Amino acid sequence: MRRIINEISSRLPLWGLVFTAVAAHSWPAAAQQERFSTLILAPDPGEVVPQTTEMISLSFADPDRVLDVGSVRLLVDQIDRTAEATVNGDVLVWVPQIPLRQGVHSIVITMRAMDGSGLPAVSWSFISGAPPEGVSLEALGVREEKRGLPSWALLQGNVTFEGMMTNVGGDGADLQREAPYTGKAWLNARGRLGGSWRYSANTHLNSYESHIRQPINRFRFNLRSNWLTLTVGDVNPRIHELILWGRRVRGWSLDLRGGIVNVSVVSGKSRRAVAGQLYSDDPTRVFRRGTFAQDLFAIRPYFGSGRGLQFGITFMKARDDTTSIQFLRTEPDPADSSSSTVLAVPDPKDNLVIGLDMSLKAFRGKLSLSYNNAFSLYANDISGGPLTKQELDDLMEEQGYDPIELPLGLEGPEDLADFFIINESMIPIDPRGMTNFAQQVRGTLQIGGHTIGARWRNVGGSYNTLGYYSLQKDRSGLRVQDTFRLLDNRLGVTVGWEKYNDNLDETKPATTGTSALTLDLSWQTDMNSPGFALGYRTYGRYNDLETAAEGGVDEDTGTYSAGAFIPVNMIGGLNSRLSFNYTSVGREDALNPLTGTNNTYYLIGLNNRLEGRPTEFSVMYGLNTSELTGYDAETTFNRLLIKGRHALTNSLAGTADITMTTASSPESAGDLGLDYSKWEMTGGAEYYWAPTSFATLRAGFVTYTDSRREGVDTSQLVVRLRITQVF
Amino acid sequence: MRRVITGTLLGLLLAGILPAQIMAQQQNVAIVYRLLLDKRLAVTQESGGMTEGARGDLLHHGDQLQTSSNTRAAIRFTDDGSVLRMNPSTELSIRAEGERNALRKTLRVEFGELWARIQKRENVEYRIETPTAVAAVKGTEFYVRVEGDGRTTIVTIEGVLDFFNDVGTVEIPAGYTGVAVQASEAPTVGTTKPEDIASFTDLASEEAGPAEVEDMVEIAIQFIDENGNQKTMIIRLPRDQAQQFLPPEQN
Repeated sequence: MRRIINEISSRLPLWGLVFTAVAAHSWPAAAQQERFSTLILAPDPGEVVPQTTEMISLSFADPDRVLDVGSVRLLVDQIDRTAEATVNGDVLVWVPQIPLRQGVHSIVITMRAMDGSGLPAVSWSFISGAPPEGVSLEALGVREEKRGLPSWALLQGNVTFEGMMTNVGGDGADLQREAPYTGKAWLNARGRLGGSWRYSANTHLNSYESHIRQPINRFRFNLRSNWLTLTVGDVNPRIHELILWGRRVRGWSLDLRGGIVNVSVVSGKSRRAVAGQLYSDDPTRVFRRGTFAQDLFAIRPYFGSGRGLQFGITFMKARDDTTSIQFLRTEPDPADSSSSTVLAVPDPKDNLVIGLDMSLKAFRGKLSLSYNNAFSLYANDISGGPLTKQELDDLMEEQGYDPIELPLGLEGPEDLADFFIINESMIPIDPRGMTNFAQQVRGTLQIGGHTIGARWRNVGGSYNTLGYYSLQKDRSGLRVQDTFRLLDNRLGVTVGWEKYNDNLDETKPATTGTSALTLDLSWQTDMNSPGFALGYRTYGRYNDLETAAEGGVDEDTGTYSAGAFIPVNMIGGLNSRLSFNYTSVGREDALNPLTGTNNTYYLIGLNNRLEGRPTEFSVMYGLNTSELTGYDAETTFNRLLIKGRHALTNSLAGTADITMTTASSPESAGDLGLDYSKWEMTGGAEYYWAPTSFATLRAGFVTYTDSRREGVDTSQLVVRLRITQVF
Repeated sequence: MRRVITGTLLGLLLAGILPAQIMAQQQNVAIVYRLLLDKRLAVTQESGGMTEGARGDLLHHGDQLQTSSNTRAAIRFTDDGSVLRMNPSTELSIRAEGERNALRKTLRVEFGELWARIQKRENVEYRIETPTAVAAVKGTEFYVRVEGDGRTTIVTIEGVLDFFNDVGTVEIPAGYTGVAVQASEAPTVGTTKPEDIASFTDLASEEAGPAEVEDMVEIAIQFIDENGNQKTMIIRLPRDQAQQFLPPEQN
């Protein structure tokens, strides 16, 4: 056949390409049928379908068009339903006119190829309504669809390379810290090893990585199953909300889940050693103080799966490695005979934290309660090592305490040095006061369309954990929030309240408190209707001191916001959305009126999308006035952003972005005033050479002109290329 | 000359090398799989025509779906069986580019909430686009919420998603939640909290939700099979169809 077509095509040049194409598609029938397959869409084999929602559907994957559509026959419970079914293109659908009887139903779909040969029939069963009690699906000959993959490893993921070139010019070029060339790469891969075993690998490489900074590159390999999760590389463990919560650790983590008895373990470096450095031209001054490497280990045995009651005990130890960098010392100043060398490294730390956690979930997760507590020991400087027993007794006497008798037959702090270094820098010096204690109660309740959340937290002033740097200490308070929808889901409401105070140890001259009340409303009927949002927040910070100079605080900040977005169809096929936003933030300080501010923000945006012709563009204008009430000076910021993307072909799209920002202040603003303009213009292209391969190129020009300050004007050329391959 | 051009175009068409999007547009991309509660699903075709979606309707490239304020819907993709469930007042559009065995499917979610279980398949890529970010998906289960101002929340239940916009990229593994507040701000990721999935819980099941479940009653029928074993058959029926079986006090 192919030879005949080629023969004809050689004699008829006009149709040559046509016949060549036909010949190219003339595969052997067996090969064509190999590429033919079916997929059950509804119901799934063995599925229990409510009686009123039955539908039978089968999809044909038929790239070579071998199926004779007219030959398809549908038998439901051995009754021919073909006449009631539709075969539209590559999908068969039958929706019963009246619900099927309750029970098991069999489906058989037969079909033939265009050449008259038979194609494999498809048959399966499903259940209408609830299955009869005591009758297993297997007994009915119904097998669950196999969704598992082959036992050998399957890999999927993506790899991305990005290169960026920056060229800065102008008077202020020296002030810019942009690297002229930056390279980045990401590799993400994951797969299944059979059963519940899966793995993933993630790598991020950045040319900004340096041995004199903390790591920017990331490496992580994860292996997990129903009962184990093992991660090697950079991990961010979250095993206790008051002890270890998201800190990056380069090492490994393990979570073993036995159901009732489980354990999580983390071990590795939570900080890289960075050597200190003196100025090369002035060794009396420190250029970089350096950083000690920090080792972190944490373990949390926990009991219960977390679906009901769970109880856990967490132990974390983090210590700076005093051998990881040299103790840098400055040189004596030759011009000053009285100067001497000065130690120029940060104080190495030691930290030990122990805590409990309990959680309870009930009513299918609608009620969730948890309690956490933690107790810390912290040595602020371990460079001198631990105290001797005599030094400890002297220290306690100096502080007005009785000598401490160590338990378990320990003679002195040296015996505990591997565990924790006890010395005069310990915070608190006497842990019996419980100022190094933290606890938290959290609850969530879903009831009647409301989601109510509350958290009470109390963190003592001497509580320290190196596993959660941003945890605020010396703070106690309550936060409550309720989110719900009203009026047939059209109105969304969020109400929140919080109140905190410090000085828990009563060591400060006054107790400073904060309180906040938040109310957010949003309204939308449906997608073709306008949407509106209103927000209000008041925040206060205060204490009893009467002047700012003594540490007095009496501030109030009020925030009001309103927004609307309106769908509009300006031109046929143009899907547009207009948005307006207004926000006002006013801050008053009764004790220091000069620091009061008034800020207003206006934002108008227009987003457009051409349906079917993938063109998008948006225009946004923002006006911000910022007033320093104490100086009677108002600075005005203008920002205009125009952004567009147009798919030129199926595989190529062009993009353009223009952003203009200006700021201006009156002369009365003095040194606090601003007067600059910044233009950013970027053009680019996105190119797909395969469904899983694409590249984006962006090139832009940025200019910054400041008419109030000299020597800071810059112009900048930025080119960025990113290539991604999905596999 | 005109004949040569015509022949060339026909040849290219038959050889299957015209833009893959044309092929995709001819395909049935998905099917309306479930309609619950009010069963009102608006389907707007790329050509601009609008129809009321019904169970079994086929969906095509460029179709825009919108559930009413009291309708939950599920669609199933015809090429791999992936399932997507939509909560009330949700709007999304479907784009399928490429041939059936190497598709890039883009679900543009303008507003609302959905749950999806995407089947892993080689050469097939799913993307969830929202006003503020894009999630690239290959074989996973996740929730998506897009609020009126475009703020996007994605909760990964199984697998991993790459979540990115022009400003940054994050990876959302199982048990984590990604949030994109606006397109000019990099997405963030954190552990999933109960409140993150509070409004999604009904989506994870095939049930219609409390309103419809409460109207169903169960009738237990005991019988003895041919081997002499006593068994119980439980039938679930809408209350209005079960009145003849119920004692008066339960009617």
